[in-house]
Order: sequence, then C-alpha cells, then structure tokens
Amino acid sequence: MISIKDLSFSYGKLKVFENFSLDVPEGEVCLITGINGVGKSTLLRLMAKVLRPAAGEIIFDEKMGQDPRHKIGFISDILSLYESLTVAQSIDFHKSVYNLSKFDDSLIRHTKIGLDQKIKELSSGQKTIFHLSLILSTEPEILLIDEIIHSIDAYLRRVFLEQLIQLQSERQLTIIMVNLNFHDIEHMVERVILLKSGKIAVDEKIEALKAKVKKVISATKPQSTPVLSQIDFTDHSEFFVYPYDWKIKEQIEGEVVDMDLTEIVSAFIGGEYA
Amino acid sequence: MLKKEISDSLKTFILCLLLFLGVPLGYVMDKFIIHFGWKLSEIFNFMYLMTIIAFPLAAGLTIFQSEKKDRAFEYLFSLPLSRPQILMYKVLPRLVILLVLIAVSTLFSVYQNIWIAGFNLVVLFLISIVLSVSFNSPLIGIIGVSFFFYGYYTSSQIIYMIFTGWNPGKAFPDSTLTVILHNIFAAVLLLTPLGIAFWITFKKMDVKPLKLQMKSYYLIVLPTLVIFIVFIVLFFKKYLNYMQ
Repeated sequence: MISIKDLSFSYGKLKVFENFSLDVPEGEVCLITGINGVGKSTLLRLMAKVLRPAAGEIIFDEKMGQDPRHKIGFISDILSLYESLTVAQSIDFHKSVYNLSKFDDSLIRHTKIGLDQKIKELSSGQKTIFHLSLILSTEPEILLIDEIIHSIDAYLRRVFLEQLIQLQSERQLTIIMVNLNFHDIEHMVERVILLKSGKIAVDEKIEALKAKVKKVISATKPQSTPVLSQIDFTDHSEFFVYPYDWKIKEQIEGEVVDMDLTEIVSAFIGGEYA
Repeated sequence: MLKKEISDSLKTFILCLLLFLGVPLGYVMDKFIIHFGWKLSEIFNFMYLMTIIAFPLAAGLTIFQSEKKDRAFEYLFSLPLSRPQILMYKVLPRLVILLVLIAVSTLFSVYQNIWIAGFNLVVLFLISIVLSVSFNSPLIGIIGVSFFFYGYYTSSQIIYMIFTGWNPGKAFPDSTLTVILHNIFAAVLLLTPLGIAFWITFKKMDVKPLKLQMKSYYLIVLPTLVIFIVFIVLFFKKYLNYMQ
C-alpha cells in the first residue's frame, strides 16, 4: 500500500501539488492521467523518491523495509541510464547495487541487444526495454511506469505487457502507470485517476467509470448531465457526458454509446482544454 | 557501483597522463624552436607536477560528470543507495589514486616536502568536489577551484604569520609539523563551511533543476568567499612586506 498524505511540491515558485493525498492499495493497477504539465510524472517521481516533497509524506507498507527503493521499480519519461556503460556493465552495476545473484534476461532475450553494446548505441525503444528488464530483475513490489513505454515497438510492448500481467497475477504487484497507450493496457487497469490543477478530479474504478462516462450522439446538447467535451459535425454532435444519467435517453433524440478507456481519457482531457 | 567509479577514476587519471605528451613536445620545441636549454628531466618533472595537480582537480570537478552528462541522477537516486554511500563510492577510488600518486612522488622526489604537498593536493581535491555541484562548465570550475585554492594557500601563510607574531625570525622553520598545522587550520577554516554547504545540498538533492536546489549552498559559500577575500585583503599588504 502507498499512502500519500498532505503532499506539497513545487518547482521554484511553480506549485504542482498542495495538500495532495492518495492511497493506492497493494496489488492495484492504477492509471494516472491528465493534461500535459499537470504533475503526473512529478507524482511518479515523488513516489519513486527521486523528488523530495516540500511537505507531507509518502508512506509505504512496512514490508517494503526501511528503504522502499529496494522494492520500487521506476522508469521515468526520460531515459537515464549511464550511457557510457555497456549493457553487460549496466547489468553488473544494477546487480551490485541490489545484491542480485542473477539477472532475469527474459525480456532482452527477445531483442537484438548485445551485451557488448554501449547504452548510448541502443535505440530509445531498446533502452526502455533494457531498463524495464533491469527493473523487473529486482522483483519489485511496486512498479511506477511513465509514458516512455510508447517508444517500444508493438511486438516488444506486447511481450513486456504479457510479462507484466503474469507478474501481477503471481505476485500481486502494485502498478502505477502514467498515460500509457490505453488500448494496450485497458484490460489491466483497475482504477483511473485524473489529475487537474494538482488535485484529483476523477478517481474511479474502471468499470464504474465506463458506466458513468458515455458518448451521446445527438443534434441537441443534453441538459441534465454535465458535458466533459464535445465534437461537432455538420448535422449532429458527439457529447461526452459524466456522470451519465439514464434519463438522458428520454430527453434527447439520439444514441448513447459506451466508450473504451482511450475515448474516456480523451474526453476528460479534451474537457480540460475546452 | 564501486567498479564503475574505479573505472571512471582511472579514465580521468589516464586523461591526465596525456599531459606527458608534453615531454617529447617540449623537448622538440626547445631543440628546434625556442632554445631555452631545457633538459629532458626538467620537462618530465614539470609535466609530472602538472599531472599531479591536474588529477585532483579533474577527479574532484568531474565526480558527478556521468550523472550530469547522461542525466543519470534520476537512475542513481532511484537506487537503494544512501547519500553517504554514493559519496563514499565516488570519493574512495579517486582518493586512493591520488594517494598513490602522492606516494609515487616521494620516489621521484618531485616535492621537497611531500607531507605538505600531499596535504595541499588533498585539499585541492576536496575543494574541487565541493565546487563540482555548482559548475557545469569545466573552465569555470577550474577558475573557481583555483580561486579558492589560492585563498586557502595565502590564508594558510597569513595564519602562520599571525601565529608567529609577524616575526621573520620565527618564520618558515624546517619543522614540517609546524607548517602543516597551519595548513590544516586554514583548510578547516575553508572546508568546514564549504563542506557543510555541499553536504546540505547533496543530502537533499533530487532531480529538480540544479539551480532550484542551490539556495542553501550559495547562502553558505558566498559569505565564506567574502570572508576569505576580506581576510586576505586585510593582511595581504603586511604579508607582501613580510615576504620581502
């Protein structure tokens, strides 16, 4: 369990979070989303302890030990491995820090990464998959993954996600992801958190969210339910409503359509920009 | 991690050894162009001196170079390593190479008094580490370290003279211990505030832009610098008269 209590953080004069609180139970797969610059990556960095809060605290389960970083796997939106090391040296480095006797190379076995290659010679996708394999080899309890995973090609992304699903079911891994490709992870995510101005604007279980966010295709705007955002066409509009009220069907002429996670997140983010 | 830091320290050392290319170069230049009558051994000794000064300077200033260059602070800070551990892994191999260099210098008799010279080189190394967090440009770093080291060196002499009551008869005895004590005194005076500034900054350091994290560092380092300048300016004229 991760418990964030009254967290405040700023970059100089730019306040990102003020009295922010959030609990993530053990074994939950959580997606954090929001517009660019809202603080998603910052929140992940604070949880990974590479940023220090100005106030408040982030409490980890006692079983995480005195230094929870032993059990946290973090990959940020910038690739930050030592570029001058070779792949073999990086594995050695990582193993020595975590006192690992062996390295799980099941992920990089699928790639064309050579042990003698320098990190700077790898493509960004290769670096990402290598960084992920370093992280997974430490058998983390918590995985914090930023949106960088988009850089991996479709095949390796599938391999990685399959491994992730397997680990999650075997070890009750807590996974917190930021704005990943929603199609890829839709079947994994249990909870969606939308950040807005440093606060939680939406915090819903995925099934509840899917029941509450609907696309209304109509020529007239629904009156009884808040509209997140809309797309206008010549003869009709698509209104993304939340929370959905079943009475809409009686009030308007049109169609109510279920939405997938990508559409839901886009609707919320579209509403932010409107 | 120690393995990586040993390798980085050796790379810095090898780069410093490139200064020895100046030996044949200087010899050839003297033979065919400038005709100063330099002996090969003199050029070698000079280049050795340059190397032994360049190493602590470079090793200290580049202690976080790979993290800065590769933006690897994020990776480093995400690892379960405490700040004292990180610092120990980084300082230890560099310090060992420096001590070996100083020990080798005794064989070549490069310095008349190896204890004082060795101590000064360690101070140079420590000043370079302390300043390494505040500079990205190596040139500004070298200027900064040279300035602080000059301050340390001059103030150690002034302290010595204050303690001898500005009495030339007592000045510069052969006793290494007497001289080194005043060097230690000057080093403590300079390195205590600088060390505190560095440690406070490094202990709290995270992946925010560095300029947002340097407030307490500058709040300590800048007044220290001003106090050292005032101290030197106050006594410099007397010091020059004394030296004459």
